[in-house]
Amino acid sequence: MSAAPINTTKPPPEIGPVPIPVLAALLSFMVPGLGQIVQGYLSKNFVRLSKGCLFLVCIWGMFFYGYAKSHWRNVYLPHVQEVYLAEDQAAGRVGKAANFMGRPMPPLLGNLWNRPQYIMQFFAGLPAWPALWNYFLPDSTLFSKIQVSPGSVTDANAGSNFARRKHWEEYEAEDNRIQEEPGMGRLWDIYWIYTVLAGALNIMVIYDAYAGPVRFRKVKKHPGGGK
Amino acid sequence: MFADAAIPGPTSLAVFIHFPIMIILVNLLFSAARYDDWRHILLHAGRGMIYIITFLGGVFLFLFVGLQIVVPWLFG
Repeated sequence: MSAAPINTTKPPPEIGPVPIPVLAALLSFMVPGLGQIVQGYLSKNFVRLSKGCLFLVCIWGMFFYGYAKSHWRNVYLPHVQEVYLAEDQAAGRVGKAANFMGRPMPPLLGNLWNRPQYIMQFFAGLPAWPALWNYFLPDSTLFSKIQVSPGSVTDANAGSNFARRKHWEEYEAEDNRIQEEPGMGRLWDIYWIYTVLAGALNIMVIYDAYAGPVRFRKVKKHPGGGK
Repeated sequence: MFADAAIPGPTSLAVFIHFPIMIILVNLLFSAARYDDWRHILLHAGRGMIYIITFLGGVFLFLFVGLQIVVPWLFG
């Protein structure tokens, strides 16, 4: 992945401003490539439309492949920081909780610190967002079967660290059992890497939908050899 | 070299099968985000793949030669 110019007989065609940039970026954020598909359709630009289809197939292909092969269990945001904060408070120290320069992080930041994969998975679009829903609304049954937030407790058990820890340890035990299955092993990690890559690549797709293809600034070469 | 009895499931060799897939997809999508012209997209993706495969292949060769030849020769 180099920024070096390509030796081709003709330079890439000049690209004008893309239509509906903000809406297209939003569409590509939700569904990878949808913004480019709409832009291609509106501007009758077949390349842009086909690029959108490529983004959609490849990014969601990677995401769903990794997600499905992990038994639909690697996209989630846990509630662990709350437990660690309470344990640290009871012990009068900052040890287990994720912290920044000795100051404990707030629960959401701490949980992202404990599950950084979700930061990138979030950008894969709509199929990664039920995890956030379940994180913030544990009582809701809308997405209760998918992307369960380990350590989440219902209102009835609110404030119970025992219930939190039990829920998340059960989830972790099941993950460990799956990793010991024949045919899984280290592939477990490869599968979440697919989902993380999908999200990371979609950030470029969102940029492309908003501003068009990434153009690096042209370097002016002086006769003396310097830039 | 690849077998790892401590970790259940396939050996780490099975993991490497996924690398070419990732390299192709990442390069293709990265290039597609840089150009609005299929010819340039494919050329840029191909060049990126060659760079990455050359680099990773070099690292692999270095480690392979080191582990299979140099280490046994020194400590064998």
